[in-house]
Amino acid sequence: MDMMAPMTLFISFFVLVFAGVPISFSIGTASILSIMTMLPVDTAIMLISQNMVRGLNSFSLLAIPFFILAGIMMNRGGIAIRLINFSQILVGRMPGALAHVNIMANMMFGSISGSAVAAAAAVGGVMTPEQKKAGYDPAFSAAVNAASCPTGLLIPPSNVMIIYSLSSGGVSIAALFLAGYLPGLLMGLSMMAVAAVFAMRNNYPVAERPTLRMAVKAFLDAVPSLFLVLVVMGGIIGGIFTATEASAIAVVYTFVLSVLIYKEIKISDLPSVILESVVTSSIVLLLISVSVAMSWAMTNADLPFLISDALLAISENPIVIMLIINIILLMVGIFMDMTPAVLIFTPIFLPIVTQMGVDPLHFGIIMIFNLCIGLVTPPVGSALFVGCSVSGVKIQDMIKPMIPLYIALFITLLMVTFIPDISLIIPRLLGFI
Amino acid sequence: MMFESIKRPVNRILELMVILCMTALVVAVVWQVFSRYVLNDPSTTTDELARYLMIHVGLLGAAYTTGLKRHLAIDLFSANLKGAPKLLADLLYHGVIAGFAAGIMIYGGLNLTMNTLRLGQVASSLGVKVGYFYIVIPLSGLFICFYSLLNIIETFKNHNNGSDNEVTQ
Repeated sequence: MDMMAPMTLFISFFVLVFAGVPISFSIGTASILSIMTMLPVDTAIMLISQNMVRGLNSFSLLAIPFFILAGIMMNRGGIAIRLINFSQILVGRMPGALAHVNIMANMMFGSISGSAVAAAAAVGGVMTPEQKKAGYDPAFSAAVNAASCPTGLLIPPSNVMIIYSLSSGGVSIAALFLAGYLPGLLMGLSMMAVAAVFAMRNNYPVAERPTLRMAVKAFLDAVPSLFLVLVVMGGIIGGIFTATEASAIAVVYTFVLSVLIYKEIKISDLPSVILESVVTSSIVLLLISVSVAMSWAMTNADLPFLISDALLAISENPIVIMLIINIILLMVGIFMDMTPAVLIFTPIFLPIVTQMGVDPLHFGIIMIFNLCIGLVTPPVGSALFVGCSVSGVKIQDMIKPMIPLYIALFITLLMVTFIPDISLIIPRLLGFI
Repeated sequence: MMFESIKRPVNRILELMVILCMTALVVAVVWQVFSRYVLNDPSTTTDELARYLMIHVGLLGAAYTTGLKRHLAIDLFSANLKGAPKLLADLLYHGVIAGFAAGIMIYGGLNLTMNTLRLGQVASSLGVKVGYFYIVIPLSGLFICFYSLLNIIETFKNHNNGSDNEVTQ
C-alpha cells in the first residue's frame, strides 16, 4: 500500500501543531499536502474548499454558536452567585462544606454555561477567597475548583457532545445528552469524596444550618437559571424541539433574564457580547470546517484502517485496546483542546471500537471524559491555569493536592469505560437505544 | 504603532460585519422557531438563510480571530523561544496561515464561487444564486492574508529591534 498520503498527513500535522501553528490551519495544510500526493494540485484545492463549505452548511451546527452566546450572557448575567447560594443549601452541611459548594456550583454552572473554564473562573472566583477566610488550604481549594470544573461538559447541555454527534456521523444529540448525566454526576461525586476525606483529616468547619427562609430564597433565586436547563433538556428529550431550536430558545431566554430582568447586561453591552460569541464560535466553526476536509483526506489516505491495523497488531483483546485508546486520548487531552481532539480522533477511533461492539454513545462519553482530565493536567490544561489564576496559587503548589483528585478521576474513568451501563442506562430507560 | 493604525479600521469593518451577521442569524433562527411553533407555518426561507449566514459568521469570524491571534494553538514549545528560532517559529505560524488563506480560501474559494455561479445553482427559497453566498470564502481569505502579512512584517521588525515581544498570544 502507498504510504505517502498517510505519512504526509500525519507528519506535517504534528510538525505544524507542535511548532505552534494554530490547530485549524495545521489541519487544513496537512490535508492539502496529503491529498496532493495522490491528486493534482487544483483538484486538491477544490476538494478542500468544497468540503470546508460543506462542513459549515448544516442546520444542526447552528446550536453551537447559539449555546456559546447564551453561555456568555449567562456568565455576565450574575448567575454564578445565585447557583453558589443554592449549592450552599444543598451541600453546606457536609464536612468541608465550602469545597462541596464549589464542586456542586461548578456542576450546575458548567452545565448551563457549557464552559469548564468559565465555571472555574466564575465559581472559583467567589469560592476560593471564601475558603481562604474559613481557613482552608488555598492549594487544596484551588485544586478542587480546577478538578471539578469539567463536570459541566458531561452534564448536558454540552457543546462538545454536539460536536461529537456531528463527527460520529449521526449519534443522536438527545441520547448523548442523557448518557452524560451519570458519568458527570459520578465525576462530581468522586471529587466530593476526596474533598470530604481531606476536610475530615484537617477538621474543616461545617456551615451553619440555614434557616428555612434562607433556603427558600436561595432556591427561588436559582430557579430562573435552572429552569433554562429544564426547558432545553425537556424539549430535546421530549422530542418537542431540536438542539438547534433549543439553543435559539436559550438565547432568547438568557437575553430576557440577564438584560431585561436582572439588568446585569446593558443594551449597549450587547455588541461586545455578540462579538465575543462570534470569536469563540468561529474558532470552533473553522475547526469543524477544516476537519470535514481532513476526514476526506484521512479516508483518502486510508488512515483509520492503518491505525486500526496497528492497534490490532498490539492486541486483539478489547479491554487492552480500550486501555490503549484511553491512554492515547489522555495524552491528546494533555496537549490539545477538546474540540479539535474530538474532531480529529472520532473518525479514527470510532470505527475501531464499534467493530469491538462498543456503543458509539458510550464511546463519546469515554472520549469526552478522557479529554476532561486533560483540561486539568499540566503543562497545557486550560482549566488548571484558570484555577491557579483565580486563586493566586502557583501551579507547582497545586500538584500535591491534585494527586488524590487525579486518582479519583482516573478510577471514575475506568468505571465509565468498563461499565457501559453508567452511560447507557438512562438513554435506554427513556427509549433512545 | 503604525501597524495598529492600519489594523484598526479593518478590525472595525470586520467587527461590524460579524456582529450584523450574528444578529441576523439569531433573528432568523428565532423567527424559524416562532413560525413553526406559534404560527404553525415553518419558514423555509429562514432555514436556508441561517445556514448561509452561519458560513459568513464562521469564516469572517475566523478572519477576525486571526487578527486577534486567538485561534487555538499548542504553544508549549514555541512560547519560550528566543532569537532566530523564535523568528522561524513566528514566520511559520503566520506563513502557514497566509499560505492556506491564499491557496485554499482565495484561489480555491474564487474557483468554487465561479463554478457555482456558472452552474447557475439557485438557493430555492431565497431565489438567489448560491454562488453569491460563497464570495465570503475569498473575502475572508483576503482579510486573513492582510492580517498575516502585517504580522510577518511586525515579526521581522521586532526581530531586528531585538525585542522579544510576544507575537503569538
